[in-house]
Amino acid sequence: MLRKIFKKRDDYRQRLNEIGFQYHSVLSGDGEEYWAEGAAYEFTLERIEQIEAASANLHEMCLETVGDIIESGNYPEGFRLSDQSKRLIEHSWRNGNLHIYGRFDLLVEPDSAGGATIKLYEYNADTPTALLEAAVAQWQWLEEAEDVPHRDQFNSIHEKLVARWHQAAKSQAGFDNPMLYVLAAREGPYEDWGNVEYIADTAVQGGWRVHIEEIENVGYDSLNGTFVDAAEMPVEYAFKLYPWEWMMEESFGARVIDCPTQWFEPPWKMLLSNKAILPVLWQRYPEHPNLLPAFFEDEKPSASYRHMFVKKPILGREGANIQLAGTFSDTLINGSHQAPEYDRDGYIYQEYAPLPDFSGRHPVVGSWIVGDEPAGIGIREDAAVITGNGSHFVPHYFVIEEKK
Amino acid sequence: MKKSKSIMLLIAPVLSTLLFNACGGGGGADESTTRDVYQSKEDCIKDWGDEELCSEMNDEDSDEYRRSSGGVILAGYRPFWGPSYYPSDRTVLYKGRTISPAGKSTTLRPFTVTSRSSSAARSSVSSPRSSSTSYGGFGSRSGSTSSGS
Repeated sequence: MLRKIFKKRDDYRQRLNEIGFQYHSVLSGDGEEYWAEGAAYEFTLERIEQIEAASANLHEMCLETVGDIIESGNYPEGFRLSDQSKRLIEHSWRNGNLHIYGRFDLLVEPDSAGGATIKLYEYNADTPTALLEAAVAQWQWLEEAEDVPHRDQFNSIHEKLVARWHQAAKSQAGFDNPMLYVLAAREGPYEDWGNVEYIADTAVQGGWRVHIEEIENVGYDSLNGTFVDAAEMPVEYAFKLYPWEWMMEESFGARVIDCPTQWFEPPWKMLLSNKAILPVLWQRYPEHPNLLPAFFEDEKPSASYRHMFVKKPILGREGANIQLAGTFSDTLINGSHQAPEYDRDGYIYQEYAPLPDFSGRHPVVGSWIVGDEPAGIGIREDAAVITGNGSHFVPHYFVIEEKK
Repeated sequence: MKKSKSIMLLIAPVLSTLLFNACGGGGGADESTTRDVYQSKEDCIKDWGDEELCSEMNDEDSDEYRRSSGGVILAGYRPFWGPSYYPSDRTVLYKGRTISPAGKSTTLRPFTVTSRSSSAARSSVSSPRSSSTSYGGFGSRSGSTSSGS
């Protein structure tokens, strides 16, 4: 894995605008644009295949874990799930509600044996973003940038999304051209709406009619027991870029289980988007090479443990509240920030495994799962070791090295 | 190797249609909307109860208003628009609530917009509602932080 410099495309802003990527030039905390035109990460095919295999394996482990939790009814306390959420999770899992996508955040670091260490930081399984830039913008860069040594990329995200929506239309809706409501929060940032518009586009190509709407405009018809749109038409299928844990706390949350609306992502994703899944995975698969040791709060490792730990909120976002866990006190890590709303749900501990350093830039590999298959990667890098909203998206490509 | 040959993007044409369709449930896409006109911001707020539903009329709008509707703007006053609504139902959906104006402060003649007016706020155009439907039960965390991860 190498960080390479390339000539910037003269018209890159215009080209990015043309694919609907409107937030490419939003400035990050360091004053640079979000889209890092002029840089790219180079991988070998061998490394890409390693990431692909690890992602497939991690996703399979996640599904097995979700299935076992639901079948046993034994939800670890650390998830902090209400009974209502548990019922909804079980209902959606047993009904076979399809999931569309998710993104693993991975540490990928060369090791001394010529391979790489790949470790899971977290699974953004409910509302992952940075999708348009991974699926489309970096592919456009690959086709247009000068002097790319090998024009190939681990990226079939777009095609797999279209295929997955097609599958959902046929198997879940059961008829041609069903209507999908695509929802996001009215005051959501540009990035959220950019991702939602792109998802809508892939759904259209997958055979759906779509209606983009603010989630605030979803109503509840108590007479018919259905969610409805602003014109009181039933919402049968909905994609939402709005976390389940927020929905379940709101006044319509209690209605979800009794309404026939089928949601993408389905409620059972609440188990995977919650960082409490990390200690559960570690308990089920101890010493797994793609997992970092992780523990619930009441299992905090003793001071004699040889590694340092980070303390992560189970429902945190944007790198908030991530602390270096000490024996007597915890310190906010450089790049994180304090957000009081993530304090109340509790924390988990995960072994501290800092991102690799490429001349002061720390890349995290976002590995996309579409349906149940690895579909590609997108890389965000940050000057800090915590990847937050101040990070930059950097395209990638891979080269084929001859086997020695 | 990992990527199929082409990407077909439909973003622009699809979304221009979709976003407009999201503008309101009631009325067809080409149905006229009406906006009340007020002598002052205070009058508008008195009627609709929320400052965000009232916006100042610019010079171009003033000229258009005079020319098209014959409305009279009193000297020394800066007129204000109320929200857009369909003439058949003088209510608007705003932040999940259906708002009916008090109806006492319209001091100028309402102005009918016959085009697909961009001045009609996305969520403020009314639609007829049944009493069994409530709104605003999702989205309370909107704007507090990104919904994405």
